[in-house]
Amino acid sequence: MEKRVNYEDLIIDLYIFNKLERKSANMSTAKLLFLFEEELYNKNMIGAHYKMKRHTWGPYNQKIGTNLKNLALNGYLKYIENYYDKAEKDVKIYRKNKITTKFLKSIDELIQEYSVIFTVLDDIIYEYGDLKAEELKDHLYSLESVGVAYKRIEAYKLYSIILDPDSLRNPKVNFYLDEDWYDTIEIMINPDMFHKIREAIVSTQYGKFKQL
Amino acid sequence: MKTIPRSDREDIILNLKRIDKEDIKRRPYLKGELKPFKKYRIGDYRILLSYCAECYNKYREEFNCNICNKNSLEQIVVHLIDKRPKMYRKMKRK
Repeated sequence: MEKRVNYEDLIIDLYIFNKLERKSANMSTAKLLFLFEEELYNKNMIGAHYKMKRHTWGPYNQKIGTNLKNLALNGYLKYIENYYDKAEKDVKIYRKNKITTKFLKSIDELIQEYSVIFTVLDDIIYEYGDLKAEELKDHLYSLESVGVAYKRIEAYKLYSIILDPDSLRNPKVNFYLDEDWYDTIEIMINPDMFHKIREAIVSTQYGKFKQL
Repeated sequence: MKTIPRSDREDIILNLKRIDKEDIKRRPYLKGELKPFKKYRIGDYRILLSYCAECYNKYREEFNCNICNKNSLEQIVVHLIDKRPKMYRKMKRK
């Protein structure tokens, strides 16, 4: 049985970076994702599917870092490494590139289909996108009632779940790829496959083929 | 095709020659930029193809396809054959 990949989360990650006019690291991106998921949770909708746990630096899920790293390694984001004093280690900082924008343009139909979800994300980025990581953290920690238990972030035990979007039983809207979109994204987000498809399209345009 | 092992290649060609056009017609199109293509599977291989009789009026102009011949639309064009990973492969490291 093949494991289903959460391409929805990758699409949302890329969408955030495409809209942000600045670079962002894991924790900063996670905070924007948390605000997005929290807003949707309160509207009984699901966008990204990250289960957010309380970490030292705020709500986080390890998959966020893994996804961003993989997207960058496959050319969908640019990244640099910078030493971050507070973490006392090198931190990857990501930014969009031309491929980010190109990819999202190619799936515009999907984004329009789920415009109700992406409009919320647009609003979150508009309101919080310019805040630095520390400012985002201060904002999150100032909120009185967040997550599944409707309490302050500090009131959650370390590493306990603050928010699990998939816990919503009957969401009004759930950003979930149907089989056709899943197959399409699976091909397009694989750089080798995407390149082969482009070559195939050029071949048809030049009428190049071999008869079996 | 050259990169596909010989035994798999023969199997794929045999299956492609036997493709039922009605079956292809029933299959949905992919989406977005891949909308002229339909997917088909032969063993572990993912095939992207189009059936000219269906595709000719829908996508030929949009994609500027020069394979179709309006006098000979009863053909299936295979655009891509790729081995599908059994599990999600971790994306490559550069």
